[in-house]
Amino acid sequence: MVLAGCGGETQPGAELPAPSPDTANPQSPRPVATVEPELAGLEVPRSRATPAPAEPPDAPVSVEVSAINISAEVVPVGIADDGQMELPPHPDVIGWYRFGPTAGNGAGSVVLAGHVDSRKYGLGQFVRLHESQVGDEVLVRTESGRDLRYTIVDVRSLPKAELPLADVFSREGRERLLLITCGGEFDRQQGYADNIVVTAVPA
Amino acid sequence: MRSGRYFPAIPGIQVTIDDDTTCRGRNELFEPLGYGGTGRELGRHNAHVDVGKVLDWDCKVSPIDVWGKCYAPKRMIALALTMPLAMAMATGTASAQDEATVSVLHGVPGLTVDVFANGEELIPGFEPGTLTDPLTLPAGSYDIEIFAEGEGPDGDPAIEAAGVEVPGGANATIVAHLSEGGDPTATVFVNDVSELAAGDARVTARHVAAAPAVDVRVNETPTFEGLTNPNEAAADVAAGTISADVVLAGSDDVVLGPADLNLAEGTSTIVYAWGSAEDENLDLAVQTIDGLGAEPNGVPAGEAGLADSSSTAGLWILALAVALFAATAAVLVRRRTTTGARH
Repeated sequence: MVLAGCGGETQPGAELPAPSPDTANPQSPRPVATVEPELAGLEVPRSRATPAPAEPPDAPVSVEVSAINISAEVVPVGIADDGQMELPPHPDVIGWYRFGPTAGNGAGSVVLAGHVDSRKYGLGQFVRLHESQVGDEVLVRTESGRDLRYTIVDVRSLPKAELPLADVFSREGRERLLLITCGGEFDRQQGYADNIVVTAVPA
Repeated sequence: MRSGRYFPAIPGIQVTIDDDTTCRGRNELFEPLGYGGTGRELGRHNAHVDVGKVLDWDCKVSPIDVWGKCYAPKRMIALALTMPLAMAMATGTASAQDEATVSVLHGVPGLTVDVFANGEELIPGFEPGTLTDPLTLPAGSYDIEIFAEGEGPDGDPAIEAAGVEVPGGANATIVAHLSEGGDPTATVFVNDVSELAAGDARVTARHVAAAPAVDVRVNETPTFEGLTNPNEAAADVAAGTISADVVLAGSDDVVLGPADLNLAEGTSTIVYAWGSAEDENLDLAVQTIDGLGAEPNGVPAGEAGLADSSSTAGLWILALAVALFAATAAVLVRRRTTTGARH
């Protein structure tokens, strides 16, 4: 679905494309052994209980959607005090949700979000996000210099209250990239009514 | 008399009894907290009972009672774990209520063992410092016997824990370890697998070493103070890497660490101090339980109203202005900001 505007054309309760069942996801919880009541003939997996080394993820550092002239710096972000996803204050800088999967990880939802505008800086890079079309290419570069290409498979506008947060921030299923900003009608009290959500999958 | 040590906020009631301990009398510990009723408060206390003491509450509860049992077996240890059903259900695990998730940690130095459950060998060749993967066990009562490797099941167990109650829906870790005095024992800890706020991690410290009371310091600040064997302390903190060490309580004498710990978001990291201070083989063991995270509660991605779809013409005029006349645009933006700002 391609939307011409920033809102008002949402399918109520619309859901994002469902992640595919995952077969080879290293992030999945380890399978647990099932012990039969008689407990017989069981080999219990075990491992050294040593501290796991912290392996910093290969964070995304830039995102490009050349078809709509988006080229933006990406920085890691976490959680704001109000429990929402933290976003860089400058709308030309896009935030990567660092508690979720990183690009190229192979699993889960890689979330890149940016302000559509800011009182201080004006309009941002993602103001054009709603113009993207299915089939457009997204290029994400990571800290280690990897260029990862994605193809847009879905563009939609959802009322913020209907944003399926568990799906958007899911760490499971096959890797997909979500580009998110705000859109729709603006209300001085509530801000923007909608989230623009673009879903892309590895090309 | 029971020694009367209570530790709020620790789910599960745990009683350790040695040798010829007898259990008799009414259940004064449980009754005021809802024994026989819903038992909602039952999981908030933890009682440690000294060796050879006569308990003033009833350990011989009915087999159909979910709250627990207490045995005084022939040799070393009887151990009773109880956890109220309400608490078990609140843990939010995906397990059916007739199953439990149980991990086993071996924290007795220098002794490779075979672990038997209900007379069947469960974990052969279990080495110190190792942790099993989580096992899904049918809820119920287990007699755990731990033998030096190859000596079971007919020899004398090094550790025996009879009537270990594994409550449905619980996530628990059975730890074979040394008591403060250096005797092999076993303790069942119920793991808190409640959901974490987005961005947070849970860290738990468990003292299962033959060592006196300790303070656990995070980034050199005492965080869990006066922790004694076999108890635990926990906190939910912002995810990130911490440097943790263990000092003798109230001192700066480091007995363990420092160790860098990666507290991953949505993950519970449980750190065990195990081994023996006297034998100078204290060590850290780490267990992690992931999948406890929540997602952010929204994406607040705009604030000025510049991209308002209900005034599309204004949007494009403004965008053009921004592109062509930066100085003018700045003025416009400021004006729009003044009129279009939300709280």
